[in-house]
Order: sequence, then C-alpha cells, then structure tokens
Amino acid sequence: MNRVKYFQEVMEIEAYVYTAGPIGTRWLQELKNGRLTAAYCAKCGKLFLPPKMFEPETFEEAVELRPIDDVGVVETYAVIHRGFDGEELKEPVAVAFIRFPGVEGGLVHYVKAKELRVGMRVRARWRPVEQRVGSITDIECFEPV
Amino acid sequence: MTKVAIVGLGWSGFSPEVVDMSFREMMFKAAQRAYEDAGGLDPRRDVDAFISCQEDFWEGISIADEFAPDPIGGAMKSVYTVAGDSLQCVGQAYAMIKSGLFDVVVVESHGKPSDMLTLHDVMSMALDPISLRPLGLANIHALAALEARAYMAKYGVGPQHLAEVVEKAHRAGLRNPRASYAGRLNAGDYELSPVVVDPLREADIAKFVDAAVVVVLASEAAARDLSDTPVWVEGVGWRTETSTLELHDWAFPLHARMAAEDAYRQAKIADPAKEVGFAEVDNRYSFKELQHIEALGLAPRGSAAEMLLEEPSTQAAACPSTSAAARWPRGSPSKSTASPD
Repeated sequence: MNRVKYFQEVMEIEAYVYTAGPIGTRWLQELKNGRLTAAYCAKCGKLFLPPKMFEPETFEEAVELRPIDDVGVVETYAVIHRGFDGEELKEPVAVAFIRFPGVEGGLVHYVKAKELRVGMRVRARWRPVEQRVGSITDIECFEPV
Repeated sequence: MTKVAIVGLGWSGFSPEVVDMSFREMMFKAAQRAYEDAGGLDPRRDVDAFISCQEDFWEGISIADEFAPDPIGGAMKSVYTVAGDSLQCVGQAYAMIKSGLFDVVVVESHGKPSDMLTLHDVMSMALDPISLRPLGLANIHALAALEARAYMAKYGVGPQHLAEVVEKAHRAGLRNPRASYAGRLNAGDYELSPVVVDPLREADIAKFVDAAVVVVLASEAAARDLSDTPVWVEGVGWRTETSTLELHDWAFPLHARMAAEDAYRQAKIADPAKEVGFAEVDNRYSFKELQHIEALGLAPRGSAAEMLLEEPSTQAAACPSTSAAARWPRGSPSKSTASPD
C-alpha cells in the first residue's frame, strides 16, 4: 500500500456499551432463567417479540413481560454457506425467523435440523444454566419438535 | 404552490474502487458536473440550500456532516445532512422548494465502500444490539435471504425467476456506461455462481461500487431560467419501516407500497400499471426487483416473476423497470440511489 496515497485509520466501532433498558434487562434476565417472554401491550392486548418499551403500532408503553412457550414455527430460513467476503464456511449454518403462536413478531435464531422447511415446528435448545449470561445466545439454537 | 423540477445531475465514480480520489473529491467532481448540467449554475451565488446524504460509519469520520459543505460549494450556506438514502434527500429538497422558502436546492450523496476495511462489521453494527447482533451472523446477507425465501415461498418464485432477473439486468447494463458489472450472462452462468446464503447466490447480490451523485432541484421559475429540459417531479413519498426487524413483513415490502401510494396520489396516478411508462426500481438483490415492481403496483402482488419470464426481452409493458438503470450491474454505492441514468 502506498502510504502517501492511502493511510489506514481505525475507528473502534466495537468499543461501546448498550443500555438494555427496563424491558430489555428483564427480558435478558428471563432468558438467563431459561424462560422466553414477550412484551404485553395493555392498549391493544397483543404480545410482541422481541420486547421493547414502545409498541410500534400503538405507541403505548409496555411495562409487562409475559411468559410464552418456547416452541415456534419457522416462517422463513436461510443457510449461510459463505461469509461476507466470499470465504466458504467450514459447514453451512442455518438461520430462521421463528414465529410463536399468539405473538406479534418473533425471533431470528439459528436452527439445527437435518432438513429445514417453512412451517416446521421448532423448540429452543437452552444452554446449561452455568453457561447462560443473559443474552439471546442463552438459547443455543432451535431444533425440530 | 410552485412545481419542482430536477435541472441538473452529476456523478463521479461508479467503479468498484476509485483509487485516485477521496470521497470529498468525488463529491466535488459530481457537483461540478451537476452545476454545468444546470446551465452553468454557480453554487456560491445561485443555490439556497444543500443536503448531503451520509453516515459517519460509512465515512470513517465522526461528525462527518462538517465535511459536507466545501466540496459542493456550500460553505457558509444552509447545509444539512440526512443519514439516509439520497432519494430521501430528493424528497426533502422537494418539500423545501414546495414550502416557498427555497428556490434552488442541491442534493449530494456518496458512498466509498472500497475504503471500508471492516464493512461487514459496520453493517452488523446496524442490527438490534439485544435481539440480533449477539448472534454474530457470519454474513449479513442472511437477513435479505430470509426475506427472499419468505417472498419466494409465499408467491411461488423459483431460482429460474431470479436467474432471469440477473441475466436481464446484466445485459441491460451493457448499455449503461456506468455499469461496472454489466455482462452477458445466461442461465448456466447463474447456476455456476456460488451459493452465498441459500436461496441467494453471489449473482443475486449487487456488488458495491464507489460513487457520488449530485442532483439540482429548482422551483418552477428557477427551473425555467436554468434549464430548457427540466424534469418535473410530480410526487414524492417515503415510509420508514419499524426498527424492529422481527415485526416487519418478511415477504413483502409494505413500506415501498405505501410510499408509492403517497407519490401516486400526489401525481394523480390512479392505475400505475397502465399509466407508468418507465420505472427504475432498487434491485440490490435480485428478488427485490420483483418485490419492488409489485410494491409499485406495476404488477399484481406475486406475479412479477411470471410476467418477467413471459416477456424476458422487453423493457416495457408490465415490467418497465428493466432498463439499463438496474442497480446490479451498476453496483451499489450504499447511499447514492439517485442515479445519474
């Protein structure tokens, strides 16, 4: 690289913290406890996931999380074969959008299955308690029911 | 209320890597061309306001808006930045002129992704920090692939349809001097393209280019002074999706449908499939072209793919979006959707 024509700079984009907030903190704590929850909007009576303090349709403030079953349905999925720069992954990785009965929204997460299909019912595989940190990754992946 | 017209357009770059200019010089060159196109307009004298589309992460410069004025002739004048696509800025300029407070407004947008050594990290940082980012997706295109499959599964769209879109766009690009990735592809070439994130192959995903675009908009009186061939803007609309990806419709771009309806209403277009003679749609992914043709009401929902196969070589009729203007062969400059085509 010609050091006069170009010079490299580094922008530390990973050195930030993000405040999970009242709803987010409780949601993550529940994940650590092995429970999947969704936010409840008192105005429209709907559950939505992932939870936010603000319900996007009604602009109502959500203050309550309610437990939901960790069994959902694959609405769509994708299988990652290559990374962003074209490098081949050691093995393909499947990611899906999973919808849960009676809940608006859902979760994007990894799915491990021999054959994936739209409409497949999947259940969360939780990490062992001692490995959970209060993150969406406390669910290791989803698997066929 | 005044009419609004585009009276000048300029560009710079549109190549995979612009090696001899920074984004600031690319802005300057695009602005020079635009002002010449607008009848030799002097930005220091004739322009009332400037809008620049940019985001700090894409620039590699924090508070990058302070870098906006000089390269486009806007120092010490009314300049602001929009962290969004350039078409949004065209909408902003349109509204400013309609308000009667501004006669001539310049919109600038640029992207120089070849400068970004950690582009995937930057894009990943756009994801929700609680529900999505911790997954550490190996390829951000996976999110588009989720949309692709949802759309394809719901409306019976297959890889043969995507192949046709890819082939047509690359071929059309041969007539566009700014289309860096144009070429003659056939179905066999498409199948040889590696699967990146199933159902998307490498050929389904627009590659990046470095580019800058400047658009000059003017009120009716100013437009008639500056140009013999003003392009009148009859309607503008934009809608922003929910920031929670999980709550959006994976199978159909409702935001585009609603934005189109807004624009059509202003332009008094009741039946776009019959009344619109030409459309340029965003096709940064192959399936997006089909989705957007439908969102614009140029084809019934779920039918663009079959219409494309039935009329593969035509540019008009039901799918008038298939001109040399397609994003794919031209590449994606990230912010500069307003194309110089």
